[in-house]
Amino acid sequence: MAGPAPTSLAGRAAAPMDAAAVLFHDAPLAIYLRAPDGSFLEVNRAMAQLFGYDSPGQFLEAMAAFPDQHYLDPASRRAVLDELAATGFVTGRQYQAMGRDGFVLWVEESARLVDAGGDEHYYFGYLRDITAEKSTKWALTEAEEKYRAIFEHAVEGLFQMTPAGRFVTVNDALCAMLGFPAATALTDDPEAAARLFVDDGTRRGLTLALEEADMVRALDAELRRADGTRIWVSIHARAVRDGNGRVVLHEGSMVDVTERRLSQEQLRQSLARTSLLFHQTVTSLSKTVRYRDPYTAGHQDSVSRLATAMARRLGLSADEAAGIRVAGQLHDIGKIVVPVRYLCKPGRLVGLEWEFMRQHAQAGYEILKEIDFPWPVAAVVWAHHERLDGSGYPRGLSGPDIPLGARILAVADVLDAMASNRPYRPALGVAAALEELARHRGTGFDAAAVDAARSVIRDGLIRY
Amino acid sequence: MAAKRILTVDDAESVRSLVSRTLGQAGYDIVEAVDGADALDKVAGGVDLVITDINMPGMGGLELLGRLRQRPDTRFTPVLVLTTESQSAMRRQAVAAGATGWIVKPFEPASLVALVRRFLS
Repeated sequence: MAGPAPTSLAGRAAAPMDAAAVLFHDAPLAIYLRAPDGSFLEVNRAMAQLFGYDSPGQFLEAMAAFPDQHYLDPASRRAVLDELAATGFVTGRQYQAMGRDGFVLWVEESARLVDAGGDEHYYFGYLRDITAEKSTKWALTEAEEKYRAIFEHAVEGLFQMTPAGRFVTVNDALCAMLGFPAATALTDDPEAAARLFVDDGTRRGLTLALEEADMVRALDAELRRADGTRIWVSIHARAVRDGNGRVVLHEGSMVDVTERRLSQEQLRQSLARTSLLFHQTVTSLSKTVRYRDPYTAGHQDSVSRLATAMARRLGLSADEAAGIRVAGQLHDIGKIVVPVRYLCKPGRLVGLEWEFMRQHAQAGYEILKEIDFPWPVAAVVWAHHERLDGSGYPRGLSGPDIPLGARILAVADVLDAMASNRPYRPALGVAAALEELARHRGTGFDAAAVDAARSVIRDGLIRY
Repeated sequence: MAAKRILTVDDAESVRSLVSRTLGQAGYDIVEAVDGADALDKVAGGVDLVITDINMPGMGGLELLGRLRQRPDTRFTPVLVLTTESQSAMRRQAVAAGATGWIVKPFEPASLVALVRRFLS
């Protein structure tokens, strides 16, 4: 409560002045004089204001009408008066009282008996408003209680431990997680935290990270439980420092992530198996043509390698390049519909023979189209003999209608065919192949794909 | 005569149980609520007096006061504020919102009973 306003002495200069009365009325402490029966004889301004009255006169009037009204509990009024009567004084009696506006405050009352001479006695006393002190203390306990409730009821394991590895506080969730019956099993053992980590390097890493960065998030660690079984936890922690900046405590939480790690590991293994199975299947499919034409199987492997290298050189993603690798391995699969005598014919194909041979692109598409590859493998195989100027087959597509994968594959296919021995002629050589591609750069073949082929061969990524 | 019904609103369980015990022993019928919204649900049964905290997660005491004063069934129900707030600005706000009385924590059990008696006699 605010103290009384200082009295303006200037206005009273002419009147005779009683120094004691001025002291009494202007003191910032609430002061009263009361009769042995408890009725108030006089109170100062601070006392009146403490209970919400404008003047001492108002206060005295109100108390005369209802003597105990500012004592919320009649027993506390009685207790003060009884003690005064018995011993002559009370000291630091604390209780709750109510002001005029319904505001209940905490006051501390002290009083003593004054002998005024003769048979005259009265009590002199003073009150201190201690509401703010009381409520602040209580607010602190309330906050502490809330914190403790959070700590005790948390689902996560919460801990505080010294950098040396001694647990200072742990909650029930942490005990349960680590298989200890009570918190003391962890806090009483100076080595408990140190023994917890399966890999001591993890603990040293944690200590070091907190020393340097003050905060560690989602650090996975393998821990030993009380019964020797192991679990994986994810640790969040922060460093608490003393006045000199020295780390004195690590505090944070641990969550059991054993299940998550197990399922992640299983998922990783299953993914690896599926991936292996996929590539084995593609390779087997690619080899089926070997029984009809040994040359084609090797050719598919080489084209696949060359086209993949070109795709990477063109800046395609690893995933897109993987799609081109598969399309390369399977691009001639349709040759199983071509009669063997045409495949192995030592001379040039003529007429109907050539018509048969051209069917392999369409047949490859028919064989592959039902497979749900994560890439457009069938479409690329279908178009790998198309040419930019529309002179290719089987559909005579041109320019942008030809998938990028097919444009890369077309260049790799021609280059490998010319650079290798064929049943009908010896190898023409890489230089001749590159010259031929350069002649049709931008007309028959994609310019960027031709450049990519030249550069991967120049850099020795693919050798002939 | 049926016992008077008092609704105590506080997010701290210890305070609720302290109020419940104190006033329960004095013969009152106590209903507990954990915040303003919970309190609004529970006044529907009819209460004679409300004792509320100011600072609570969700709906606090001042908003609860405003809402109670808007409802026909609780417009004149005495509402005592029991809080750790001792600032006069907050007190004026509560009085403006319709608070009947104000008591800071901690409370002396006898004082709380005496205060409640004043408003329910």
